[in-house]
Amino acid sequence: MNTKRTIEIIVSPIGEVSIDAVGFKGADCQKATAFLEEALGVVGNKTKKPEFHQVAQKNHHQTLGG
Amino acid sequence: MLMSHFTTIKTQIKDIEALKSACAELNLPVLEKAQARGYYENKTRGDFVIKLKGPYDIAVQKQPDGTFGLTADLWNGHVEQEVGPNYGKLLQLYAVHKAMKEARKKGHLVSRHNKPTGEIKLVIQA
Repeated sequence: MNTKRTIEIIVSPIGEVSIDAVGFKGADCQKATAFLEEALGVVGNKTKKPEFHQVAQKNHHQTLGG
Repeated sequence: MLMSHFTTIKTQIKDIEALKSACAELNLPVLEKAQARGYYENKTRGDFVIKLKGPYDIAVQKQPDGTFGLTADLWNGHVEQEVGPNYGKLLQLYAVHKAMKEARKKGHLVSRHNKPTGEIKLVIQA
Protein backbone atom coordinates (compact mmCIF):
# COMPACT_ATOMS: atom_id res chain seq x y z
CA MET A 1 0.00 0.00 0.00
CA ASN A 2 1.39 3.32 -0.95
CA THR A 3 -0.07 6.39 0.71
CA LYS A 4 1.14 9.92 0.35
CA ARG A 5 2.76 10.96 3.61
CA THR A 6 2.46 14.59 4.51
CA ILE A 7 2.89 16.72 7.58
CA GLU A 8 0.55 19.68 7.74
CA ILE A 9 1.39 22.59 9.99
CA ILE A 10 -0.97 25.43 10.78
CA VAL A 11 0.54 28.47 12.52
CA SER A 12 -2.03 30.81 14.04
CA PRO A 13 -1.65 34.60 14.10
CA ILE A 14 -0.73 34.35 17.80
CA GLY A 15 2.07 31.87 17.10
CA GLU A 16 0.42 28.61 18.13
CA VAL A 17 1.42 25.66 16.01
CA SER A 18 -0.72 22.63 15.16
CA ILE A 19 1.01 19.68 13.54
CA ASP A 20 -0.97 16.98 11.81
CA ALA A 21 0.81 13.96 10.36
CA VAL A 22 -1.17 12.13 7.70
CA GLY A 23 -0.58 8.72 6.15
CA PHE A 24 2.01 7.36 8.57
CA LYS A 25 1.92 3.93 10.20
CA GLY A 26 1.89 3.76 14.01
CA ALA A 27 5.11 4.97 15.58
CA ASP A 28 6.44 6.44 12.32
CA CYS A 29 4.00 9.20 12.98
CA GLN A 30 5.72 10.28 16.18
CA LYS A 31 9.10 9.96 14.52
CA ALA A 32 8.04 12.05 11.57
CA THR A 33 7.01 15.06 13.60
CA ALA A 34 9.37 14.85 16.60
CA PHE A 35 12.00 17.05 14.95
CA LEU A 36 9.45 19.82 14.44
CA GLU A 37 8.09 19.56 17.96
CA GLU A 38 11.59 19.81 19.41
CA ALA A 39 12.53 22.70 17.14
CA LEU A 40 9.46 24.81 17.80
CA GLY A 41 8.77 24.68 21.50
CA VAL A 42 6.63 23.14 24.15
CA VAL A 43 4.09 20.51 23.28
CA GLY A 44 0.70 21.48 24.65
CA ASN A 45 -1.29 18.35 23.92
CA LYS A 46 -1.29 15.34 21.68
CA THR A 47 -4.37 13.77 20.27
CA LYS A 48 -4.24 10.47 18.53
CA LYS A 49 -6.82 9.91 15.91
CA PRO A 50 -9.12 8.04 15.77
CA GLU A 51 -10.63 9.27 19.02
CA PHE A 52 -8.07 9.30 21.76
CA HIS A 53 -8.42 11.92 24.44
CA GLN A 54 -6.00 13.06 27.03
CA VAL A 55 -6.83 15.17 30.01
CA ALA A 56 -3.94 17.35 31.06
CA GLN A 57 -3.71 17.60 34.82
CA LYS A 58 -1.96 20.31 36.76
CA ASN A 59 0.95 19.28 39.00
CA HIS A 60 0.98 15.85 37.46
CA HIS A 61 3.98 14.74 35.51
CA GLN A 62 3.15 12.82 32.39
CA THR A 63 5.47 10.92 30.18
CA LEU A 64 4.11 10.66 26.70
CA GLY A 65 4.75 7.32 25.10
CA GLY A 66 4.96 6.76 21.34
CA MET B 1 -4.09 0.68 10.40
CA LEU B 2 -3.03 4.15 9.40
CA MET B 3 -3.11 6.78 12.08
CA SER B 4 -2.60 10.46 12.03
CA HIS B 5 -1.78 12.39 15.12
CA PHE B 6 -2.26 15.95 16.03
CA THR B 7 -0.04 18.08 18.22
CA THR B 8 -0.41 21.62 19.46
CA ILE B 9 2.67 23.60 20.40
CA LYS B 10 3.29 26.94 22.06
CA THR B 11 6.14 28.47 20.11
CA GLN B 12 9.41 29.17 21.90
CA ILE B 13 12.20 31.14 20.25
CA LYS B 14 15.36 29.05 20.21
CA ASP B 15 16.97 29.99 16.89
CA ILE B 16 18.09 33.57 16.40
CA GLU B 17 18.64 33.06 12.64
CA ALA B 18 15.00 32.00 12.16
CA LEU B 19 13.94 35.04 14.20
CA LYS B 20 16.04 37.24 11.90
CA SER B 21 14.27 35.70 8.87
CA ALA B 22 10.91 36.50 10.47
CA CYS B 23 12.00 40.10 11.10
CA ALA B 24 13.29 40.42 7.53
CA GLU B 25 9.84 39.41 6.28
CA LEU B 26 8.35 42.23 8.38
CA ASN B 27 11.09 44.62 7.18
CA LEU B 28 12.44 45.05 10.71
CA PRO B 29 16.20 45.30 11.21
CA VAL B 30 17.81 43.24 13.99
CA LEU B 31 20.84 44.68 15.78
CA GLU B 32 23.25 42.79 18.00
CA LYS B 33 24.06 44.09 21.53
CA ALA B 34 22.08 47.29 21.21
CA GLN B 35 19.70 49.54 23.11
CA ALA B 36 15.94 49.10 22.81
CA ARG B 37 13.97 52.34 22.97
CA GLY B 38 11.17 52.61 25.55
CA TYR B 39 8.94 55.34 26.95
CA TYR B 40 10.63 58.65 27.74
CA GLU B 41 14.38 57.99 27.69
CA ASN B 42 13.95 54.50 29.10
CA LYS B 43 16.33 52.13 27.37
CA THR B 44 16.94 48.41 27.79
CA ARG B 45 20.04 46.61 26.59
CA GLY B 46 19.31 43.53 24.55
CA ASP B 47 21.48 40.66 23.30
CA PHE B 48 19.59 41.52 20.12
CA VAL B 49 17.23 44.39 19.41
CA ILE B 50 14.42 44.39 16.85
CA LYS B 51 14.15 47.95 15.58
CA LEU B 52 10.51 48.89 15.09
CA LYS B 53 9.23 51.70 12.90
CA GLY B 54 7.39 53.33 15.84
CA PRO B 55 8.97 54.94 18.91
CA TYR B 56 9.79 51.70 20.81
CA ASP B 57 11.86 48.58 20.08
CA ILE B 58 11.84 44.95 21.19
CA ALA B 59 14.75 43.63 23.27
CA VAL B 60 15.65 39.96 22.71
CA GLN B 61 17.38 38.39 25.72
CA LYS B 62 18.97 34.96 25.96
CA GLN B 63 17.43 33.07 28.91
CA PRO B 64 19.27 30.56 31.14
CA ASP B 65 17.36 27.70 29.47
CA GLY B 66 18.68 28.65 26.04
CA THR B 67 15.45 30.18 24.73
CA PHE B 68 15.12 33.85 23.84
CA GLY B 69 12.70 36.15 25.64
CA LEU B 70 11.10 39.26 24.14
CA THR B 71 10.75 42.46 26.17
CA ALA B 72 9.29 45.76 25.12
CA ASP B 73 7.54 48.81 26.48
CA LEU B 74 3.95 48.05 25.57
CA TRP B 75 2.71 51.56 26.42
CA ASN B 76 0.01 52.92 24.14
CA GLY B 77 -0.03 49.88 21.86
CA HIS B 78 2.87 51.07 19.68
CA VAL B 79 4.56 47.67 19.70
CA GLU B 80 1.31 45.71 19.36
CA GLN B 81 0.43 47.70 16.27
CA GLU B 82 3.54 46.42 14.50
CA VAL B 83 3.91 42.84 15.75
CA GLY B 84 0.45 41.98 17.11
CA PRO B 85 -0.75 41.29 20.66
CA ASN B 86 1.91 39.44 22.72
CA TYR B 87 4.28 39.60 19.73
CA GLY B 88 1.93 37.13 17.99
CA LYS B 89 2.82 38.05 14.41
CA LEU B 90 6.51 37.76 15.19
CA LEU B 91 6.05 34.36 16.85
CA GLN B 92 3.94 33.18 13.92
CA LEU B 93 6.55 34.09 11.32
CA TYR B 94 9.34 32.74 13.51
CA ALA B 95 7.57 29.36 13.72
CA VAL B 96 6.99 29.35 9.94
CA HIS B 97 10.63 30.11 9.10
CA LYS B 98 11.94 27.69 11.73
CA ALA B 99 9.69 24.82 10.58
CA MET B 100 10.60 25.38 6.91
CA LYS B 101 14.31 25.50 7.75
CA GLU B 102 14.20 22.26 9.77
CA ALA B 103 12.08 20.41 7.17
CA ARG B 104 14.43 21.43 4.33
CA LYS B 105 17.42 20.36 6.41
CA LYS B 106 15.88 16.88 6.36
CA GLY B 107 15.48 17.05 2.60
CA HIS B 108 11.67 17.43 2.64
CA LEU B 109 9.77 19.57 0.17
CA VAL B 110 7.78 22.34 1.84
CA SER B 111 5.09 24.60 0.50
CA ARG B 112 3.69 27.65 2.29
CA HIS B 113 0.15 28.99 2.02
CA ASN B 114 -0.92 32.27 3.61
CA LYS B 115 -4.61 31.97 4.41
CA PRO B 116 -7.09 34.86 4.34
CA THR B 117 -7.88 34.09 8.00
CA GLY B 118 -4.34 35.14 8.94
CA GLU B 119 -3.18 31.59 9.55
CA ILE B 120 -0.18 30.24 7.67
CA LYS B 121 -0.24 26.64 6.51
CA LEU B 122 2.83 24.58 5.66
CA VAL B 123 2.62 21.29 3.83
CA ILE B 124 5.67 19.02 4.12
CA GLN B 125 6.09 16.00 1.84
CA ALA B 126 7.68 13.46 4.17
